[in-house]
Parts: sequence; C-alpha cells; structure tokens
Amino acid sequence: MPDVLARLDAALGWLRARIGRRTAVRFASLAAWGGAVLGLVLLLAWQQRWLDLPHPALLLAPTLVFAALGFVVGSLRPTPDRRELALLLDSLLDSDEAATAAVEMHERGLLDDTDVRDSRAAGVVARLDAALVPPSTLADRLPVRPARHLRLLPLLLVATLLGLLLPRAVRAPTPRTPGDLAEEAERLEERRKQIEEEHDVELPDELDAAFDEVVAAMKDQDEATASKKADELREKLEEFAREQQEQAGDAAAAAEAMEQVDQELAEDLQDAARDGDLSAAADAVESLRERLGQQGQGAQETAARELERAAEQAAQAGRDELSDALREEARRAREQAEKGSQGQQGSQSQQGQQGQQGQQGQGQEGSQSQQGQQGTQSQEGQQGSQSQGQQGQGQQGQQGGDGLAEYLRQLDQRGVGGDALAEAQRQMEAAQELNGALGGSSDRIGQQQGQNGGQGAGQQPSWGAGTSHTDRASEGFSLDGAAHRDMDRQVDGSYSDWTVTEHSDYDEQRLEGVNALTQSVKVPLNDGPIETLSRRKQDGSETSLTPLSVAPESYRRAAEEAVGGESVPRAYRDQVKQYFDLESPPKESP
Amino acid sequence: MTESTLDAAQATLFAERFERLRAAVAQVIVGQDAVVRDVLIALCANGHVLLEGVPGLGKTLLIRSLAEALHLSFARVQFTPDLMPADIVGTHIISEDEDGRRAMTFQDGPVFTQILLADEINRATPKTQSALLEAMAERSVTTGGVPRALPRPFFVLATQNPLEMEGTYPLPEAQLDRFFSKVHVPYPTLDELSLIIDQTTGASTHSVPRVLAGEELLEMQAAVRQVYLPDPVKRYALRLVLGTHPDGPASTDVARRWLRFGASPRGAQAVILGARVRALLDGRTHAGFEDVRGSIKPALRHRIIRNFEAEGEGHSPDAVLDELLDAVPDEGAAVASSTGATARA
Repeated sequence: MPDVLARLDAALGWLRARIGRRTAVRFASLAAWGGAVLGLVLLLAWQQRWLDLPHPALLLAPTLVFAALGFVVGSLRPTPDRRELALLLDSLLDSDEAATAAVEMHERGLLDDTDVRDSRAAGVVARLDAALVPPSTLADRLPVRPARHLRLLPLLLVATLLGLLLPRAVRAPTPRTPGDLAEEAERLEERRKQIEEEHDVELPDELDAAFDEVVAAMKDQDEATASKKADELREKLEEFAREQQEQAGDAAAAAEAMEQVDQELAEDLQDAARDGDLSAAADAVESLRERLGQQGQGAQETAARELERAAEQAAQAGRDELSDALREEARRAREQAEKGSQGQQGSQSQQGQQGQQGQQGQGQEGSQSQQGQQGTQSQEGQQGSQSQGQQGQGQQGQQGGDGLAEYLRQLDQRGVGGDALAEAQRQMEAAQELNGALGGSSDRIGQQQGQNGGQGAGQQPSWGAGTSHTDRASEGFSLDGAAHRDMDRQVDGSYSDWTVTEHSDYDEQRLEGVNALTQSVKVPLNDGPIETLSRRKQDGSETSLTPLSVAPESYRRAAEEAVGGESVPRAYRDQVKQYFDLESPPKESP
Repeated sequence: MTESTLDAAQATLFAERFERLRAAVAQVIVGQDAVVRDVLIALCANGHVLLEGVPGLGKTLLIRSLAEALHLSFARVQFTPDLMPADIVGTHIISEDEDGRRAMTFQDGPVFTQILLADEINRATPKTQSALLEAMAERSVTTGGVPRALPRPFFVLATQNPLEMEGTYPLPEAQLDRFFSKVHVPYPTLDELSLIIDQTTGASTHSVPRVLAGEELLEMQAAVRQVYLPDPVKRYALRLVLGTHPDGPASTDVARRWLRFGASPRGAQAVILGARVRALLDGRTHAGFEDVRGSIKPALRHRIIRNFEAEGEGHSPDAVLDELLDAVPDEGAAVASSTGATARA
C-alpha cells in the first residue's frame, strides 16, 4: 500500500516538473518567436539603413533575450495542484479516476501511507496499482516541446541569418545614402554654374564661400553641418536679393513718389530708372526744381505736400534714405513757396535778409559754400530781379541737406545706376534662383531642411528652379500663397480655423481647368461668410496683367459664358461683367 | 453515515451476480445486450424502467424472463383506456367470513408484486397512469386513507409503443421523471432474428433459470450506494445535468438550441446511481467519468423536453445528449487540454 502511494506521489511529482518544464519551454519558444519577428523587423530597418547597429549579429539578440525571458516567466507560472495532477494522471493512464479517488481519499483521511481506513480504498489502490506505470513511460503523452506552429522558429532564424548575409547595398537607394548626398552636391554645383551662365553674373565672394561650405559638407556626408550651412546660405541669399532689389528699385520708387508732384518728371524718372541712368534722373529732379520755382505759390505748396506724402510712403516701405531725400526736397519746395511769395512782392531787402538768413543757417551748420557767398553778394546791394532772387533762394535752400537729385547722384556714384544696376538685377535673380535650387537640395539633406526648402519654393515660386521641385508654382505662376490659413466663420458667429494647403479647382464650370483658391475671409459678425476667388497672377504684382483679349481661348470662352450663362445669377451678372471689363491691356502687350 | 463495507471482493461479486442474471435472461432473449444491461442496471439501482419499442421485439418476454431469473413475484397489467386506477392498486370489496359476517376488505391490485409489467402504459388514461405515481416513487400505495407498503424489491417495468399514437395518452412529465431510465429496444439484427426464429419456431423450448434471489438483489442495490464517487466525477455529472437547462447559469449552447426544459434533480440521481452501478460492473469501488457518460442517455433521454426546432428537425434526445457530452468536458480532459497532454483515446 505505501508503495502504491509512494509511486503515486512520484508520478504526481514527475508530472508537476514535466508541466513546469513544458510551460517554460512553450513560453520561451513563444517569446523567441516574437523576438525573431522583431529581429526580422530590425533586419529590415538595418537593411534599409533606418537603423544602425554596432554589429549586425545583434539582430539575433531579440530572439535570445525574449527566449530567456519567456523561459523565466514560464518557469514562474503556477503548476496544477495535486488534485489536478491526479486528474491528469488518470487521463494519461486511463485509470478510471483511480488516482483522483486515491488522492481525494487520502485528503479525507480514508487512506494514508500506512493504513486503509475505508474498504473502498483498497479497491481504489488495487486499481491504481494495476494502472500505475513508471512516469517516464508517459513522456510521449506529455511532450516537452513547443507548440506546433512555433516549430517555424528555426526558419525565422535562418531567414534572419540569410538577411544578414545580403549586402545592404542591394537595397533600394534612399535619400540618406552617402552616395546620393554627394550626387546631390554635384547636381547643386552644376545648377549654380548653369544659373550664373544664364544670368551672366557672378555672385559675391561671401555667397560663393558659403555655397562652397554647403557643398563640401554634403560631399563629406556631414548631414547636420550641411543642413545648418544650407540654412545660413539661404538666409544670406534672401538678404542679398532683398538688398539688391531695394537698391535697384530706389529710382523707380522715386519716380513713383514724384508721380503726384509732376507727371512729366515722373515719366522722366521712370525712363531713367528703366535705363539705369540715375544721372539723368537727378537732372530731371533739378529740372523739376526750376519748374517749381517758375510756378506759383499754390503749385509749390502742393508739390511740397505731395513730396512729404511720398516721403512718408518711402519711410513706411523701409526706404529711409529715399525718404530723407524726399523730405528734404519737400522742405525746399515749401521754403521756396514761402520765399517765392515774398520775392514776387519785389522786396530786395527781404530777399537779402533771406539770403543772409540762408547764410546764417549755413554758418550755423558750419559749412561754407559758393552759393552762400552769392547770397551774401545779393544782400550787399545788387538789385535783385525776381528770377535772381528765386535762384538765390533755391541755391540757399540746397545748403540745408541732400535733396532727391543729390541722392540720385550719390546712387550713381556708388555704382547703382547703369550697368551696375543691371548687374545687381541679374545678381538678385541669380541669388533667388540659386535659393530655389538650394531649397530643392535641402529636401535631400533632411526632413527639416526639406520643409524649409518647400517653404522657400512656395515663397519664391517663379525663381524656384530647384532640382526636386514639384510645386506647381515653380512652373511660373503662383497663387497668393501655397498655404493659406484663414478664419471661417460659422453660423453661430464663432470662427474656426481652416487651412488650404493645396490649390483647389474652383468652379470648373465657369473657369475650366483654372486652378484657383477659394478663401473665406474674416468678416464682422452676422454678415455671413464671404468667399473670394484668388486670382492667378504673376510674381511681384497684385493684379493680373493678362487682359481678357489676350487670354487663352478657353479662358475667354469661359468668361463669356460666365457673363451670359444661366449659372450666373442675374443679380451678379453686372459684377461679373465689371470684373472682366476692368481688365485692360498693359502698354507692352501686343 | 454508515461505514462502508464495500470492497473489491464485493465489487467482483456484484459483477458476477450481474453477469449471472444477464446470462440467464440471455437464454431467452436473443441479442439486445445493451437493452438487457440497461434494464439490469436500473434494477441494481432500484429504479424503474420504461421500455420503448415496436411490438414484437420481446419487451414483455424480457421482463417476464427477468422476473423468472430473479425469483421474484411478477404481475402484468395490460393498460387500456378503460383501465381504472383500482384495477391497478386494488379496491375494497365486501367479503364474507366463515361466520357469515360481511366486511369490507382490501383486495390487492396487481401493483402488489415485486416486478410489475405495465404493458403499453401509454394506452391508459392519465388518471390510471397517475395511479402508479405513488407506487413508483414511494413504493407504497394509499387506499382508503391507509398506506400500504409494496413488497421489496419493487420494480415497474413499463412498455410503450412509439408507432401507434391513436388512442394513446403520452405519459406526463411527472410520471416519466419517475422512471430511472428509458430504454430503446431496437430491431434485432439478421443473426439475432435468425436465432429468435430458431428458438421460437422450433420444437425445443427455453426456460429461464432462477439465478438470483431477491435478497441478493437487495444486497446488490446496497452495494451500489457505497461506491465511492470522487468530487470531480460528481461535479461532472451535475454539470451535465445542469447543462440541459436552457436558462440556467450552467446552460450550454446545446440546451439553448434544442431544449425547452432540462432534467430534474431526480435525473441527476439516476445518472449518479447508474454511474455507480457501472463502476461496480467494472469491478471498481469508485466511479469515473466514463461511468457518468454511460449513464447519461438512459437516465436523461426521457427527462429532457425538446423544443419545437429539435422536434421539427428530428433531432432526437439521444442526439442532443451526444452533443451535450461533447460540449461539456470532464475535468480530467480539461486539465489535459490546458497542460497540452494527450488525453486518453
């Protein structure tokens, strides 16, 4: 009897240990499976160069680590209790629950190691004695092996090993491969040469040096440095282009400012600015002074006011030097108006006093000039005619500061005019174009640089001849911005943000094939949303320069249909017609 | 609780007596081994049996032979629609003694026997059928306010014909529940039929020897109740019984799909007792899962009430119980499954 119970205990112990090992192995194999899958994923990342490893053999580490962890976790799992083990033993032995009955009787005190206290227990023990076999013979009924589907684990490991043998170079090239960065640097250099040849200009040495640094960093595969240098170069290029644009545009800006003062002078200034002849522009301004001196007081005061207004506009536009020159010009005009009025009254003494005042003013400023001496001579008793008086006043007035003519002459002397102006224009265009190309290359350098490059392309679309631009704006046209962020007012009066990041086709029925942007603008409450159509325009201008008469056939047809079509509400037809009527052909259009 | 005296020797003796009884019946009843075994198991468990089969399959002969082999009193009642309860239980009649005095005396009915054959029980009216309720459950009858014990052992072995439904009164569930088991009597095979023909149409006649006394049968019944029932085995039997209830907490998908009502606690008793008898027949003093599985169909097939869908699709009670056995694993199989061991075949 004790022998049977001892054998039963041994069998149950063997089962417990066997189940523990089996659980540990199954957990380990399951975890190893997961680790192998992770290893394959890491292998893929390594092959694609998304991941760098100190040693490729580390790709097998997840399998081993996971397997070890799984084994530990499996070993710590609770094993079945004694009754469950007895049930399992009965199941394996096919002993009609003799082991279960024996364990239960033992627990209830009906059967112990030395005695059988229940007559039925003897039968149970006898039955168990006949059924109990050495536990080792049950090994095949309770195998310690992983689950069937986990037997593919070796295949995963073999696949990982084979993947390690494959060279990484056979993978599809990516933008981050060193070869591509170097190639991109070469493309960028070629593009720069091409731009310089196209514009027949060379960039300043400072920009040249910065550009060479970017290219060198790209060739050295130093992605971070290349990204940083590219950023700096882009800022320099933008700054340079802006300066050139401002400098070259001062003459034109002066012409625009003088347009209200004197139409004839403005046209002369425009011609001079277009030709880059700032000397002629200065002459034109001096001619204006003479003409103003011959005109009445009212015209002179009007000219002074317009000049002051033009000075304000120039100051607001950031053209401080031009603003100062215009302001001085206005001051002179105002003085001329006041003095001219006195000169007309024929008071020579007053004129002399004025000349003396001018001399005193000059003396206060600590400068001696020939014009001032002339003023003194006129004070000394010469009978001044009206014209002499006016001339004296004008010459005295010039001693107060640099007028517009002097400013233009200074620009001419600084080399802004003529060929220098044209060269500056070309340099500006080349810089902007190179900026666009650099923006395209930045996409290859890094994601952040790619974003900057995309923004740059959006900001300077018409010049953006980058090597990887896909923006429509790079084809020569742009909308009012590639990405708009406006406020859309809801029915309840609140506002919500909406963003348009792409061109959207607007009303294809009316404007077939036209890419335009529908915007909502922020309006006062209760006025309802307003939809606006952003017109496609050329860069740098605010209105379309393409009249309806020279528009493509499809646009013209669409416009005519828009005016007469039934899709346009009758109440809006006038507005639509006015829109097209407002388009007038520019001077240079055929 | 009385101390158990059941041991392996008694279990072996039980199996021997059972085999003797079976062999004796088999001298008359050709084939039908499973039927005879189920009927004998019910007798050993002190239960009543409902035999269902077409006419001419030897149901009545089986029961009469059993009575002869057991050396027990035997009575047969042919149930008909005009049969009255008094015709079964007995009645008071006026009798005259030797002195000429008349008095009401109780005339025992056929129920006062040890083996009662209720032939074609479903032909009697419910009123008459219910006359057997007390006798089957309490093993006593009450007439005129006086309870009268029936002799021990007492068995009711009823038969019914499933083909003829005209003029029959299906047994109410309450009465069905009092039958320990319901045994289907199948049609004999060709060989069995050949033997039947030989035995019944030839010149020779076979008689059933008396192999077991009533006392021995009572001893066997007592031994059955001492068989050790391990807790997992008991829980398995109870889970199976509760699994027949479509609305219970232990309900199974099988019950929800096919059954309207499940088995009663009396059904659980029948399953357990049947399992114990089967354990003894195997020479064991303890019951196992397989014993429970063997008892399920005879004990529960008349206790589960199928729903309309099951009846409409001809899903028999046995088919439902087969699905139930598949749906409810025993604890040994569950442990083996959870540990990944290969369970018994």
